[in-house]
Amino acid sequence: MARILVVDDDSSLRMLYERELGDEGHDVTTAASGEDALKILENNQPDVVVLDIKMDGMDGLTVLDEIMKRDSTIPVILNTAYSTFKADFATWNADAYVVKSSDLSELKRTIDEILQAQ
Amino acid sequence: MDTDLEGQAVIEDLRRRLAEVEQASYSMRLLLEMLSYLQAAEDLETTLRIILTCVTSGYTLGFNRAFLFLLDDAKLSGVMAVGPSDPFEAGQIWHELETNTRALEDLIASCRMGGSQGDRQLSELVRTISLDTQASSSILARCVNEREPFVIEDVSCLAREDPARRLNAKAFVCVPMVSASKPIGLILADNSITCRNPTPEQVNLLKMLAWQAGQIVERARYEEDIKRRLQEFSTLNEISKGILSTTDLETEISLIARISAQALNARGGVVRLIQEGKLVAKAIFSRTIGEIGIDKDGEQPIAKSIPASSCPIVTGSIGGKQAEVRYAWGRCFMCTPLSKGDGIIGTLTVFDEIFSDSLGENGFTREDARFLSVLAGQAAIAIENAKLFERLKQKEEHIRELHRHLLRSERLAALGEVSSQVAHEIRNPLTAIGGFARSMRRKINDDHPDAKALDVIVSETSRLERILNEQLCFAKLSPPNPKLDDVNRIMKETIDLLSDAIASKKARLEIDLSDSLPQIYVDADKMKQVFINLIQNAIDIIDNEGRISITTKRVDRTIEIRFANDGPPIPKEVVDKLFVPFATTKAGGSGLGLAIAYEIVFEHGGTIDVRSEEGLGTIFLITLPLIVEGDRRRGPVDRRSQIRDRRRGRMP
Repeated sequence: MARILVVDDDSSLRMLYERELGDEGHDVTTAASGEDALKILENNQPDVVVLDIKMDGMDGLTVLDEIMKRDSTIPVILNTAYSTFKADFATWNADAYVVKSSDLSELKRTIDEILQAQ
Repeated sequence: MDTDLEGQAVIEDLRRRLAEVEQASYSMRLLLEMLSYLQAAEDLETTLRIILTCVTSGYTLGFNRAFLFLLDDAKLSGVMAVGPSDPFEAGQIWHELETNTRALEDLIASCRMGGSQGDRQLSELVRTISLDTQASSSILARCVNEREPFVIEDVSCLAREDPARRLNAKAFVCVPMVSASKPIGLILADNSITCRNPTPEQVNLLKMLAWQAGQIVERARYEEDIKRRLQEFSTLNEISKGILSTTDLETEISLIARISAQALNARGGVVRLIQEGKLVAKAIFSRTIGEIGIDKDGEQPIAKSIPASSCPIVTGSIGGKQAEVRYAWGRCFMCTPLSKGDGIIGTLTVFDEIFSDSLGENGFTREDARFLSVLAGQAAIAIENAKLFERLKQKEEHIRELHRHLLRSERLAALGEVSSQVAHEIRNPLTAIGGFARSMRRKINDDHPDAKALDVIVSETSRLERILNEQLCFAKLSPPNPKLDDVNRIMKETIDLLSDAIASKKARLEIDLSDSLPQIYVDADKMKQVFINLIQNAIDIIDNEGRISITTKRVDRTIEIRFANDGPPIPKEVVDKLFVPFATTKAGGSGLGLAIAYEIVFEHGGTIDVRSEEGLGTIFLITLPLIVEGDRRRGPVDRRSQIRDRRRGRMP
């Protein structure tokens, strides 16, 4: 059981993550934009942030930088439709990188790994 | 009485002197007449013939036979002769002369038409004589060296081996021809038919004629030389033009054969080039036949028209650097190697009739041989240039092909950028659909009425995601991941996958997969994509109940995969751009399928070709290289690894 913040501008996906990760027993909060996410983070301390990269308004990498500035201990999983960026992942400060898939098992496994490491 | 006698003697003396003066003045007139004809002669050959005609004409000197020798450096060679070959012909000629009472003018006019049969035979005879005046003790050498006339009243007093004896004269006179106090040759004359010794008048007149003729002959030789040099110059110029005008090899070679023959006034010319260690005739020019085409075997038509084709001297002379003059099959040849640097690339040959009436050694002179060598030098350069030009053309074609490929790749790269944008739009809803379906499926039992439907949604979205991954990433970061695999297995799986689509068109599917297909290194997922695209393409093309045939087989070091269909043919202009992304979109198509297939096959080091004809339908042929373990490194082209490496290099 962990507190998870899901940041994604796609409402269907927010619904899916809420349902699926909720079924896993997690406490899921969702944010529809980077700005919303940062606002939520002002008052909350999630165990993991699942962050979309390409979003309208503030993009995921800027959000990532902001989070790192405020509290670099929060684990962040980049979750994106762009498999293209996988090779660039090593240059970013995120803890993991997962390509979006209808099969959420990779995301779930990554979350579990990060939680166990803490 | 004494006075009378004295008077008589004086008168006799006067008469004699008068006769002498008359004779002298007659001789002078005759000489002037002869010289006027000589001056008007247009070339060396005519000049020489006029001289000999004057020597033998009854109207002038009246010798039976006359032979002319010319000196070249120290070499004295017989060049031409005039006279009957035997008493029978002599009788004929002289009878004709008497009845026609032909004047010198007529005789000289006939000189320009060439000599008689006897003249030709005597000329052949005299041309067999050639001697070194520095080394020979022959009377001929002495005549030239001492610049003195010799009257031989009995040839038996000459040395047995003296070449002059070969002319079968019992008695003769030989006089030197001199120009600018240098000897240039000699004239030998005799009366062997009438068996009379030369008279002092004959000898005297011959001396004077030879003296004057010397200068005229020298001038004619000089003019001939200039003419020849001019001819050589214009020939070389023509060949040089050929060198400069980047013409193709075939044209260049036939040009060389023609120019060489024409420049040397020969009957024909042949250019042979060395191919795989063998001399192969590449072009033949013949004045009588014109240019003769060479078939692929090279020698066939030559053997028929010109027996020279397999002439052994051609191969024999290849080692030498200079042109050689040889004889074979009733013809005279001159052959010279075509050399490039230190190697020989072929031969240049000109040929003529042996029994030529022109000057020199049976048709070709040493000057001709020298010129042929010069010509061969230029010709070799021209041929090499033409070869280089052909190679250049091939390279250009190769570059054009690479450029076409690059264009395709660039389009695909650009496609990758565009696709990234599209990916976001498609992947998100796809993830949502599939994700919810999975979620719902997990919450129901297998016997639930919706379980099957949800399974279909899950598997279909998975497939879509996989295709999306492949298609979108492939332009950027998806190198092939080849593993040893069975192409037939991949094909069977693909066909199963598309069975619904095939059934919907009621297509007749003919499958012939070779049992002996070896495993190759292949990225199964990518190759499946290729097969899907090609089969889907065939399904789209064919009419209902059309035929699709798929075969695999091994051909040497490759595997051939053939997709044929009997649909209507693809227009030529569409075929040309079939593999270019977005260039050919059939109704409802993405314009990507075949471009992607091309790219994947290319990455596997293979090729994909298409042929489409009315009545034949359309055939796509994929050729994949057979790569065994040892060749792995040289296996499928991974042109993305470089990009990957570069990116890795950027990592902190």
